[in-house]
Amino acid sequence: MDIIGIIVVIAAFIAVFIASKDRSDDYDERQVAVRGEGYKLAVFAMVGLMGVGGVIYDEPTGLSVSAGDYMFITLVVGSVIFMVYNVWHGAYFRLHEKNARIAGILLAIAGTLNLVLALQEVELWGIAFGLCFLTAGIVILVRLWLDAREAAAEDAGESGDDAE
Amino acid sequence: MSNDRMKAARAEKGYSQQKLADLVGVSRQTINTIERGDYNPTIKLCVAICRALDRTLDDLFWEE
Repeated sequence: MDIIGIIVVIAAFIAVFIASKDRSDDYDERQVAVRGEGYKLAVFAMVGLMGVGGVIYDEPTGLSVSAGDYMFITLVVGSVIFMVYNVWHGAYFRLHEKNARIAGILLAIAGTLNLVLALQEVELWGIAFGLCFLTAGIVILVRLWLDAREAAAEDAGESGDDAE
Repeated sequence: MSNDRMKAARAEKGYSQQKLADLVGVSRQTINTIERGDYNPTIKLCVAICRALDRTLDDLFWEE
């Protein structure tokens, strides 16, 4: 069963990779550059954490987190860094994406629920997912609010210039 | 360095940043960062912006 699970996970990654290729029209040139920077930051953070993990698990530190859980935390941290950086610089959602607000709300709700349930049982994976979703949801909603305020200020400024 | 000439040309046409972004095929944030001078667009994007605003490359993007 473990072998089947591994095969399923690998097949899922390959399917996602293939499905995500050749969609250059979905992002403009600035967004592509920002996403590249986001990937770089996430990878550097994950490499750094892996390095720290190598030291931690090589020395007797009495750490209660298993190596597998530590790897999982590393993946979550990398994903959060990528997501937050791209959302903040307007490069996470595709052009003409209409569901960003709904995504932000759902992520915030899912993150909160995950966190509340996981904290009750002190379950590491649930806490990590909860923090990840909650962070993403909050950053998305804040960014959308700031963008709307910026667009309104831009339009108001132009209206004011016209009135003069 | 901010691109005030592009902003002025956009205002003359009566376009919002979102409108110009839609015409050119980029996000509003990209137009905003170009006008603020925080992003240098490729020549392809510069040409698309010039076409949308009926201006030349010298008008909007040549250093004064």
